[in-house]
Amino acid sequence: MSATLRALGQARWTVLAFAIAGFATTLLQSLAYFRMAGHTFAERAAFGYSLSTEAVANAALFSPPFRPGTIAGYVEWRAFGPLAILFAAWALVAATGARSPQIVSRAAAFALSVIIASVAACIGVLIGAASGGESVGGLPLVEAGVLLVALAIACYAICLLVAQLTPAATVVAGGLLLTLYFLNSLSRIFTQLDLARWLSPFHYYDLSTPLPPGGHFDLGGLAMLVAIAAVGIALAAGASTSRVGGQVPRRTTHEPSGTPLLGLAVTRELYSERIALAAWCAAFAVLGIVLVAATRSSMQGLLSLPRLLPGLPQYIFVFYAQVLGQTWFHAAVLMLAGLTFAFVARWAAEDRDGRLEAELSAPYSRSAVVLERLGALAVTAAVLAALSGLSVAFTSRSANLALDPARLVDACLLLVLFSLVMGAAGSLLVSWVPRAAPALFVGFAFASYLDDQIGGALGLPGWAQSISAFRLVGAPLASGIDGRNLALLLLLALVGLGSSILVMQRRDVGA
Amino acid sequence: MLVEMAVAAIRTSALTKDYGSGQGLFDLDLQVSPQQIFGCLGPDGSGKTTTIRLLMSMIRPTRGSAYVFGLDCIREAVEVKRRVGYVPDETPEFGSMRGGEIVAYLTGLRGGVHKDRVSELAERFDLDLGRRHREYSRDDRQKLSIVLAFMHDPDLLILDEPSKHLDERGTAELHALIDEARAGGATILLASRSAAEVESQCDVVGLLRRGKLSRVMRIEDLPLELEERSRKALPP
Repeated sequence: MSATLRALGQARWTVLAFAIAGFATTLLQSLAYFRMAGHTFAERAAFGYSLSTEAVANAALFSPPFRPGTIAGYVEWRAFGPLAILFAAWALVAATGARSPQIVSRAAAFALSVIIASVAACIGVLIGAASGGESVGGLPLVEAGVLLVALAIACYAICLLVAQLTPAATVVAGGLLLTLYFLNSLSRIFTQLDLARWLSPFHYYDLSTPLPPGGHFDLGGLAMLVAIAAVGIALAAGASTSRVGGQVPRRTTHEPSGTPLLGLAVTRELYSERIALAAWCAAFAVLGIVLVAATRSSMQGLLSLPRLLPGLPQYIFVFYAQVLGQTWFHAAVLMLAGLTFAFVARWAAEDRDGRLEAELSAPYSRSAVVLERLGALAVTAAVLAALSGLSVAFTSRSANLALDPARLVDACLLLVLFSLVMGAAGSLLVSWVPRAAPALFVGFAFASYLDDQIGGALGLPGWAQSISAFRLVGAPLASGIDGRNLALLLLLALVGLGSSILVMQRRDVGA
Repeated sequence: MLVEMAVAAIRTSALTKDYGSGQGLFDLDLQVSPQQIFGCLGPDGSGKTTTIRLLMSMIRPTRGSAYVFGLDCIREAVEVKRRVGYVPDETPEFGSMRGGEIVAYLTGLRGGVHKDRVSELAERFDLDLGRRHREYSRDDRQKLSIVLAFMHDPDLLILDEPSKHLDERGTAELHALIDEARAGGATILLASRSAAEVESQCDVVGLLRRGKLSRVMRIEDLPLELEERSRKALPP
């Protein structure tokens, strides 16, 4: 029990950040609903229909909504859906990041953490719905919260088990979670995947739609999530015990590594993460191919909708770019935000683990540390964007779907710039408060995302909306690059870089 | 050469780091001559590590100044570190990187390190550079820190409890290395809680207590001083 509480205490900043993220997401989405949906039955029905149309285009990424014209249906789709992904990412970091061998205590601490964050999310719904003079049923809300907790713990158990079996735990577990997620989401479009979707915990989460009126709670799905969690944690505990003392004897060497990559700026930053980077490269290349195929299927679905504008199919090329912008570009932006988080978490760990102190004991300036970190992020983002862009270009061409190559290049360059802006913000946080930086970065990224998604609906001033990096990247595939937004992105990146160098110069390291 | 000899290896003036509640280091005036082995002796919390971190510009002073070979420790930190080898109080964590990769990474940052020197040091400490850092024992991690500090034959060695976690053989090897560095003309600042270690290695010792330098003396005077202190501590 004390080990559980100790682990919970160590993760207090993270718990706080995710609780705030959960609360803010549900509250702000509820407030946004009342501003956007209208008041009459007809207005809300039209609003729900427009969301259903949007959902068809995004079917490869997110599950379809159930009764999105109601507050409960809207919140379930626009708040609990993204929170499920966010909590799965949290599970990945929590399960593969900590080094303590006390598996069960760690799992219990994570379970308590995720319960706290889920309760915060449910409170956000209650307050948000009450602000519009409506209410959401207590039992359905508890069911939604329980599902969120069960999914997060199931993902945690899977990652924890992987962490016991491989040294590259974050990469392998992250790749596995991503595969399981897309196995479920793509099975909505590619029927060939139906047979395998039972493997994915996200499938069992999607079986229930407890919040909206007329929705239902799948007890079997919940039981499967609980079973995955229990079996995963038990196997991880067993694997952890049997791993102790299992060292294989090997030949001793006194020679330093001869790889030239460790002697070069930027590449030495990336060398130790080479397996993870290879996995990211593969994920981005596959993402391009899969999402082009999924977009093609989504378009066919959209074009068959009865209430679309007559004659729209003749604008098929523009339409393709728009839909691809919503799927591939949107997914790439989110994944690059995830990549930036991985870099920020690593920078914070370097500070905590004394690695930064070891680096600074060499004749190596603090500004060089910041520049090299961001250089490594920029190079990684450039490689990933190029790989994904190339895979989109070739797959589109082979599917006879025309895409403006200049706009595709613009989109790839914007992806790099987006990563730099987020990275500069993360670098500033790491320079300022390294221990709390990963949690604060999650909060910052999520706030920027929400600012873009519902800032307008919440009536935020224009300047506040226009500084979200998610907003500033725009929709380059459909409408090209906006010069003002590009300049703002560059300015934000430079301000973040400059201020993080200044803060880094002045702060104590290892104190 | 004459100018070089005239400059103190370490010089601090009213060097202070105030953490509040009486914690930190206060008004440290210290001078260490070139080729001297200076011992910082004191219990935990006496300010040894704070002194060393200030010299290494890991932390910024509240007031006062510190110079290494006439170079300002804050403004000319990069130049200072070119001439310094450092064993930190806590060994860093390098996760799944192999020992040889860590050495290559840090020699890449430093430049001008001979591979043969690294191999010689690793062999002397029987340190397997092919193993991953997370597989290293505490003893191995300390040995790696020592290899990283000595590999470029620095003019000044700043060693914060370097024999901590080392076994008997490792400690003997470390002391032999310190002797060789002294013979090679290096200056050494050795922080330790062990009077015996300071007595066996150092020429001059500074006694730190509650963040203040209470006395600086030749090493021959240390046993008398310690005897005096223990007598005062005994009840009448």
